[in-house]
Amino acid sequence: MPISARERAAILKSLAAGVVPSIGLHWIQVGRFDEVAALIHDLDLVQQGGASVRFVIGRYGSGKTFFLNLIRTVAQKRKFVVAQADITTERRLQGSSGQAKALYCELMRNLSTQAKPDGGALQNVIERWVGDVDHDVRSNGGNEEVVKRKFATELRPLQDLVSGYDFVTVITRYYEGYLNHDERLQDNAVRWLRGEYTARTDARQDLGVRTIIDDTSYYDYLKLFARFVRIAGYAGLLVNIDELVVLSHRLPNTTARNRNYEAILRIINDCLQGRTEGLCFLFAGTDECLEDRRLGLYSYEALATRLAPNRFATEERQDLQSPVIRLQNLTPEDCFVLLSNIRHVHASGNPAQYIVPDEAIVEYLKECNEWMGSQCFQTVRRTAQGFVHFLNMLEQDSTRDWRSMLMRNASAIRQTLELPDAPDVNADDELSEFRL
Amino acid sequence: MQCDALFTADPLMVDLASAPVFLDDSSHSFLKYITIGAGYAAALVILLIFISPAVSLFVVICVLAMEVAVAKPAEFSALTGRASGKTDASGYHHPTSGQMVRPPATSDTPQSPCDNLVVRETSSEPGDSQARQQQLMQQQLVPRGTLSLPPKGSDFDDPVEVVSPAAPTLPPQRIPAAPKEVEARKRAFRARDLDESELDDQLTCHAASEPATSGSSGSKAVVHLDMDAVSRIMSETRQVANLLMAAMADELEDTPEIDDQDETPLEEPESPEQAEPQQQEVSVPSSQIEAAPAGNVDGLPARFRSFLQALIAKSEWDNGEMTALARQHGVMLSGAIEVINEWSCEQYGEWLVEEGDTYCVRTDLLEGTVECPLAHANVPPF
Repeated sequence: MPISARERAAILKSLAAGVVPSIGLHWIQVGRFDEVAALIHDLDLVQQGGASVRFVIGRYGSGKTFFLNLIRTVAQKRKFVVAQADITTERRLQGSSGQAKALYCELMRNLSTQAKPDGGALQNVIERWVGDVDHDVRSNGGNEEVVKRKFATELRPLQDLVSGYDFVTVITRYYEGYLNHDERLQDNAVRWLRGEYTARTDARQDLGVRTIIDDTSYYDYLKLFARFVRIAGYAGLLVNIDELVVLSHRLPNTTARNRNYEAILRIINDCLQGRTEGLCFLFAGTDECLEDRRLGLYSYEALATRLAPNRFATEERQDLQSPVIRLQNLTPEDCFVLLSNIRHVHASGNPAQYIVPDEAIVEYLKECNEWMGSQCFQTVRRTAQGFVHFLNMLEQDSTRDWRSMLMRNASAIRQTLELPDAPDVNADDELSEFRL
Repeated sequence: MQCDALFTADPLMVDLASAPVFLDDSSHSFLKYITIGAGYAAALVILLIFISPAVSLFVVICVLAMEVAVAKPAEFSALTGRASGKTDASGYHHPTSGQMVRPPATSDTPQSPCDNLVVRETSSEPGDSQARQQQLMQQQLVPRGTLSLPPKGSDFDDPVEVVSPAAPTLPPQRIPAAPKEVEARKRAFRARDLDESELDDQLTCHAASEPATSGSSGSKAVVHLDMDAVSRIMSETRQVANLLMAAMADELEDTPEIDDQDETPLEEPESPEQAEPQQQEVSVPSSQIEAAPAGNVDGLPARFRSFLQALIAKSEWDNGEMTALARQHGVMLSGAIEVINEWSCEQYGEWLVEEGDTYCVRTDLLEGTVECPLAHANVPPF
């Protein structure tokens, strides 16, 4: 099957820059059939009105972010709305100084759909539904007032949830802004939905609502929004949260850490007990982030019991019904297949246009192994990056053979693949500090 | 946690086993002395009340003597130093020589990484040089832990990260000493007043003993690829690809239609141009029809067609023009682009409208100039 030019360019440019591509990941996915199948099953479940929560756990370089993006791509294709954000010390699941709200804002800013996969799709989602309702009503001879009443009717299920009434009011204000060519009112409504209001008085003055989205209520709004997107015709809301390790190993305060773990516990309980619908959470973190009994999720007893491994599972055969999905690091054979896939993408999916044979991939892996050691296979980012550079150079200079390119450019490849130097420090201070 | 000088550990290979454990011993000591003091006071009061002063004095002296006897040597030394009034946090000055004296390091005594620095200051006999040199070379040339340099952009961008031996480590693989590393070792030698020529000799010997797989040797590293495993992974990868394809195609059949009322032709066309496409049959190969949304070949809700027709009149629009165009056609701009791009993705695998500072319209998609499943099919007229 041919690979579209857009996907090809996105994949190759992203890999060449050392970042995970945002689209077309299914072209370069290697193995992990069971893990992918498990998450697709989750998406099916959510699509049918259920909820799900999963923790993708693996070492650095095992492909957690890649996996999250892959599932995001699949979800977008299945008409999910996807919200994605990385946890930082300033953006986390619980906080008293706006950190939780900051995470919500980030999720809403990065809201994506199939038609707008790079984020910023909140307005699209709202306008699509509002436009549909408007079209429905007007097709049947209704006017603006009927449209507004229809909003309330359609969104009645939301009124059972926290701040459901205010949500309906804000959507109505957005529609009024559209009717009156009042872009400011529309912007205010979007600001409120993104959680960017900081004062209730401002929200009341601008939109006539008494509440705003804050640290304590953001999760309720996520649940509310998940219900809304289903009403709007989407399959559900997928929330991808990466870098969970920040909570466990970057938050110095035990109380803050435990409160964040409480927030995770609430999410797990809601999703597993069926108290929410149309919502899927995917968290990604490292082994120590999960298993560290002092700092990790296991340090919180309630989470330790819920996320405990199945004692009948083995390393070879993990329990894919469990909330925890473990990703193993890539083996040399996995790397070989990955590079083969990259070559396939480079040739736009046409094997006749392969620029190098399999032998070149093996030689390239040897070259990498020589200079990077086992990191060549454990952290494949630089391996893939160098390989794309290699293919690009070959493509640009067809007179050169891949062997001579590998040999002559060994030093250049080495520069690409070498471990990054430590940040510049004073020569005299090079030994002056270390960190535990 | 910082230290002004770390001379005992390899600058690039440090492990937790040798790293000092920093406990807050000052607070422990403080609490202990408070407790002891309170005990003395209580005992004294009781004795003064119930027993004669002479006996009580005797008991107090006995208790004091016992406490001193059981005290650790380091604390004893410290107490002695305190008595001379010349102590500091890391040791005390000898009352007569004025030299810094450190308590002996014991396995259970918390030890600062600066301890060895102090040793260097106090003991400079040439006789120790050989032993210390050997010790340093051992620390430098035999990896006791593994330096972990995470990729750029990861969470841990510290200059040097110490990884515990239990943490994932690379296989023991000798890497030739980089110039920076050699320079660092030389500085370490200079800082400890050791002979640099000895370091050169040791490095030469070390290089000579490098295994043949070393990068600097020029010989190729061995990569063993299990071709059976490769075949298995490729097979699994194909399965995954099929699974993903199926998963991404499922939504075309399973997801409830958002605009199901628009699957039928427009009931009240606003213009002749709108009515025309509904009357025309689009001839598309059957295999491609299967991939298209069920019920309608072109799949685009009818109310957006006139907007799309106007949209493809030119390839670039600014924001104001687009807003006006959308209003003119009675649609909300963002919602319309959402629907059109979704339809375009399903039909052509590409986004028709790209949002940025301006709106770019991929008119080439509709002209069939881009390779895509439906590129050569009859494009629905507008």
